[in-house]
Amino acid sequence: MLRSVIRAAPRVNVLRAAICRPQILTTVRTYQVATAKTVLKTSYDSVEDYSSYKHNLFTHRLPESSAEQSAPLVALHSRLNLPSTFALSTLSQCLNLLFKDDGLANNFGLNTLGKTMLSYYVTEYLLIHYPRLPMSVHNAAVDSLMGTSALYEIGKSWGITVDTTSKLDKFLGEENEFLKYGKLRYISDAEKEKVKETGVEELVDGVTEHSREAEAYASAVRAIIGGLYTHSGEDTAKKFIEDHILSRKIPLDQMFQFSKPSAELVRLCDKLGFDQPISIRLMAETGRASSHPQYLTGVFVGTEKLGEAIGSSLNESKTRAVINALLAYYLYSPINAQGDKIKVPSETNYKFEGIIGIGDVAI
Amino acid sequence: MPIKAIPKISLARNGVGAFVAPCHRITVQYCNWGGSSTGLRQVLSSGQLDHIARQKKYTFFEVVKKSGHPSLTFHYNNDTTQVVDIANLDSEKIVEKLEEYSQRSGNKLIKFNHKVMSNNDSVRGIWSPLHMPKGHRHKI
Repeated sequence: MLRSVIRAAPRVNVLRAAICRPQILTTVRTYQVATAKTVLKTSYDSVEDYSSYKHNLFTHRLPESSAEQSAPLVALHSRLNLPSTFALSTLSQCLNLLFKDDGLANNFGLNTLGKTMLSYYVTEYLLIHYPRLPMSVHNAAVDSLMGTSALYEIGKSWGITVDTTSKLDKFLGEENEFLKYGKLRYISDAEKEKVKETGVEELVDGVTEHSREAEAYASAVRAIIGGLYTHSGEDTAKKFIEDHILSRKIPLDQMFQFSKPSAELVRLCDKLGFDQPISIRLMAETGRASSHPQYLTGVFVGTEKLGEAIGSSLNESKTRAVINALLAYYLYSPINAQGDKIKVPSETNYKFEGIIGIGDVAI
Repeated sequence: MPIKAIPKISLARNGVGAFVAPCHRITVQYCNWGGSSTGLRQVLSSGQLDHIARQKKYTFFEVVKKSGHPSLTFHYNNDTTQVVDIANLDSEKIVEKLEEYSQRSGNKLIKFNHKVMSNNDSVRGIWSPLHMPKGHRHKI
């Protein structure tokens, strides 16, 4: 009797596992659930009543008189050519990521605001000026302008430096107390005092020292944009984004990776409803019998040439030509009658001039 | 997915849109006693440095009193620093150095032996012998 029970036990387990498995699968969340940050000590009457949300974390803003005495802060304000309405204390707040830093307000809200502004203007710019970009390349282009690494580079180029000395070190080194208000503060005092082994890096949840620094810089850049919106309005913030972020060059032509270019071009032409079939023709060649031949291949639809390229073999030149034809389609950027870039919806007197992409093709 | 994207970071074009001065911090180190700092002490006491700092509002000036020869350290936004030895230089030369190095980008000085340095493709394209009319092509 006992033996049979023991023998039965594993079977029961298997059964239970079989029953449990679908349950485990259903608990895997594929969406993100917003949770209130505990450090903010948020309180509310009811979860759904958003107007009752209140942060109870005690914070105060840096007095303007103290901010004025921080030389790096004043220099940063001047370097970025920020308007005089942008308070120095806000700029200092933009550089603070700590939640418990002498009760000083941090950039949490400004960062969120800046991120929203940035993503709106960057997406608007890309969608209007490159309406035919495939979704994946569009997302990569957004990242190339406002991803963490791009904003890190921008923050570095603005000459923002990190506050790495602890309170004790500042006291012993007789450092000016106002100096830190002009520096990026994201490392807590306890971490600064930790003795570090050179060449050994701590890796927690894929976050390295470098990626943390990059994220901090990016957050400060976004917060400055948020601060600009708060103090000087949307137009100034937009101008700032145009000057500092949209003025960068996006290497879009290097961001495509085609797996089956020919099949994709055929599919695309189908979708565009061309009457005549695609033909790939050899246009010129030289040195076929030599070790370095050159072939010039063109992709045609009827008498229209979609693209051409030179390659050192027939196959290479054909693939290059097809890719050129695809890039010519995807990287199309509309211009107005005067030959200038077309207006974006956020500009005044906007009238729709461009095109709306027909979407990605599937092969 | 037929098309995969290759992640790339956009290229900075300082001066297109906004210009941010690359030299963000200058450390001026002097000795209160040594003879080699005479020129720099003169720059400091005559208020010349204050005048320069007022003009270059975008740069953070740091004055350090330390024994030894005087030096100017320039911190650039590409994480490089350049130390300039200004021992025994008179005040004019020091101001000259200050002006010269604060205007640099922080990149190494190189000899560039080409006509154009650009991130952009040539506007006119590259000349191709294959696009000549058939009779004019070079035959091998």
